[in-house]
Amino acid sequence: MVTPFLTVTISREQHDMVRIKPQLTKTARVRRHLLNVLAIALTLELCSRAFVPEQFEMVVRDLEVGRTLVKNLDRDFYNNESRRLIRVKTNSLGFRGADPEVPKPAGVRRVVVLGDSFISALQVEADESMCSQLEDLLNESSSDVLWEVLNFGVTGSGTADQHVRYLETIRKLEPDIVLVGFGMGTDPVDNNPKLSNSPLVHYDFDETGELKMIPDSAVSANTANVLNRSSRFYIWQKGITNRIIKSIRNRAGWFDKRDRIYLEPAPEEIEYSWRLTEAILERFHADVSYDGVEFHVVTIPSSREIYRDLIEDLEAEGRAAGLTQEFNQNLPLERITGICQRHEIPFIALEPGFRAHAPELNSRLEDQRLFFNGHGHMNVKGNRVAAELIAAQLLISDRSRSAPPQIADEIERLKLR
Amino acid sequence: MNFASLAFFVFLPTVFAIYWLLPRRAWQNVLLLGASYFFYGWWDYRFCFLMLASTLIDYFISLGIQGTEDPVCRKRLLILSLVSNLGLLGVFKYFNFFMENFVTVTSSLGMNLNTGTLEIILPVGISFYTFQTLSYTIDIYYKKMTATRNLIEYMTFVSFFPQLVAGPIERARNLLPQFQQDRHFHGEFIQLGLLRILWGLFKKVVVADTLATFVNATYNNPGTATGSELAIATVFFAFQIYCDFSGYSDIAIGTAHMFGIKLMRNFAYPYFSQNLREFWQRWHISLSTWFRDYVYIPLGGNRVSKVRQKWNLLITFLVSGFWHGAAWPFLIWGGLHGAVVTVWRPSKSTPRMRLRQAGGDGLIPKPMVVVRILTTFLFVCFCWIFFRANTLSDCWLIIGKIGSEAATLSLYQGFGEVFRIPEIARAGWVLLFLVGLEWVQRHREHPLELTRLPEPLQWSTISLVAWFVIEYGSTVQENPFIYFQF
Repeated sequence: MVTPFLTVTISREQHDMVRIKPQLTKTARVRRHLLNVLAIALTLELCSRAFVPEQFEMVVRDLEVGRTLVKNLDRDFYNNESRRLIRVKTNSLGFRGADPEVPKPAGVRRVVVLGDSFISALQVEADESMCSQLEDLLNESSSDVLWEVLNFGVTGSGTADQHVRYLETIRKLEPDIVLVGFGMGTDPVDNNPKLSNSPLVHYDFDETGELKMIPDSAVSANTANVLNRSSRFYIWQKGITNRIIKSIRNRAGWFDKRDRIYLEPAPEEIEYSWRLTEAILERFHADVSYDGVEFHVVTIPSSREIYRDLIEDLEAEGRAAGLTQEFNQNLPLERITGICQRHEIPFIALEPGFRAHAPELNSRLEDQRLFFNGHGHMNVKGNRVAAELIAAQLLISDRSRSAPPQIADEIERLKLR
Repeated sequence: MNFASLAFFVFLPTVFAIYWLLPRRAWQNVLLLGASYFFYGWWDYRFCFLMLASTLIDYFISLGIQGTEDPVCRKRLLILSLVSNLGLLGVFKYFNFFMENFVTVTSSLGMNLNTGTLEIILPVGISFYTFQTLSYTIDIYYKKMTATRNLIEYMTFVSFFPQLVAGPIERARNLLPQFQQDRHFHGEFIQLGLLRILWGLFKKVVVADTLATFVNATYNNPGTATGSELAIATVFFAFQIYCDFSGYSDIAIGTAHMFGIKLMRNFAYPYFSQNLREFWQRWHISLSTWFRDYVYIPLGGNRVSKVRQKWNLLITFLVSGFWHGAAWPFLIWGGLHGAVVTVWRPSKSTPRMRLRQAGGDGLIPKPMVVVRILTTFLFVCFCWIFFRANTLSDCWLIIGKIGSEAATLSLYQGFGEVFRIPEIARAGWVLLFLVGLEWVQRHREHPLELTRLPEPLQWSTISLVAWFVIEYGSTVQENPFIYFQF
């Protein structure tokens, strides 16, 4: 007997291929399906635990401050980019480093650095990160003040959730200086809720053109956090999905929307991203300044803004994908400079300093690499260079208020490096 | 288009969906034909013209053979078909081999001929579809079937994409009638087809491609490898080629299943064979039976004297070796198999494949069965050296290294060291899983036929296999199927 809907005649070969199944009641069918789903889920979970070395999702979605690292963490992680075990310690706020003292001790000049994975720098040890090196450099240069640099970087962060984090958390820590590490390769797009893939706190314009907050979805965030904590299969499938999407994108020759920030004239959606970024930075600056805190935007360059070969490769990809616009390596820097100048926001551009450390502008030359593999996150040298450049600017800024002569010498020394 | 590629995973569902939406058989055939030429042209559109020429030649010749009762005329037409098909194969596959050897022979006689070189690309799968069309014409000649007048059906039979580039080499008597019958959708076609495809992908992506890394590294530098490494690489290659080729066949059979077409079985657990004859009844069945039906039997088969029988058998194996590739190592490989099959007669106690499942009954094999299986496997592995080595001199080097280390026992000590390398150990575990599952399920056509297990256990096993395919598929480097080169 063949199932009822197959009323047509089938060939002998086809008939051989069809197996007959007994008819079941509805309850029995539901029970059977549930058991099967349970068996599949268990097997997949067991496979992910047994055969995949170490899987741990370090980022937690937080409905108030966007996202943080897992709080009070202290363990080693193997990092694929630097290909070594990295010790990661986080504080009770969910950021790299020790818990900051509150209220701030006397004589401490506190710098808070906000940003994404370039700032959290989980590819290198804590003492090799830009924040830690910045603290050392500043303290080497000042004898009367104790500088304290707090790392508030978290993977996938954007300017909007950094602003919220400032309002909700950082403000209470009584910072003297807030540095917003603006990821040039990702932040403009991540600030646009229509383009961002990251589940974040976002801002968008309302009908009147004012900024309004779009919070992260509570259901989605809580579910993701629970799954991240309890299921290795969930983490495994995220990695696999990303790999497959990347592979499809590469093979199909699709052009990544993030990379459209180099296109001149800029596409409409990128133009919108910059407008949003401008509005967010303006408000951020206003809120921080209102608290009497110094505010700086630090441009954290992506490798494409430093190395000519990478932007040429990107241009070739763009041409293959049918793009006709010009590719301008300096465009993101020009845009952020314009924003900061229009709103009188102090800013530190790292690009010129980075290019000075890689004069050939070729990512394939190992001695010129400031990024892992030439195109990843900042390597130890990149973190060092960034720290030196920021330290020099901060000290200049400090000197402009009250600079004793020895600091001026130190500034010159740092500039020479 | 490679089965284990992204393009195929877009192509297959698209063709599948349109195919079952078409209400008439004729339209389904036209779709399959178009899809097959698209699939084949994905490599190089020029290959399509060659296949079209081969198809049309046999279509018209077979109609001509059927249309006349004059034996001379029929024979001439058959010869024309043989000459044109084997001529195409000769030009595209064997021309350079013959030229090189001709130049070598003439230069050894003191004549320096400047023949120039012809850069002839070997069209993918030419050996497979040529044999398929040949078998059709020969069957018409021997009046085993009637020629079809429907060109679309015939073209679809020749070019049917699941088995086009690496078999199974289908007989017209099995495949052509299926294109002449109505096919209607049934959910089980998808279920059974997908299971077969999944198992094929597991063998290709998880086993073959994992083993390929070590095998390629070792066989490409035999001078620097130790005897232990070469021995392990040889065993790994035995499983690599098995999983690569039988994996392709499984995907082909599963894909055809989804279109309501049943292809013949191509592998039946060959490494559980207890002698070489049984091995050849279980390995590349469609080719072995093709040579049996169209070479061995026409040469006289079993109806001639014992000496002539053995000679015919040897000829058949040599031709089989030559079919695999125009190079001396392939001929030696075929010759070695032929020599052993010719000389060795199985004892009466040795189980015959048709009567018994591979490796005998029961989960735990008898000691003598294990000995026979291992002996057969080791001989097959020895022959694979000739199949895999890059040159004939590499073959002697590899055999020499393994042999000399085996004599001093350092070979076996070296195994431990090789398996300490994590990648090799991982490959070893994967092999153990494959062999274990195949052994337990060897009474089934493929190991994912789990119908006797409780359903949750079936799904668990399927999920386990799927997990491995996804995990390895997204990390292991993609390798083309080995048999595409033949």
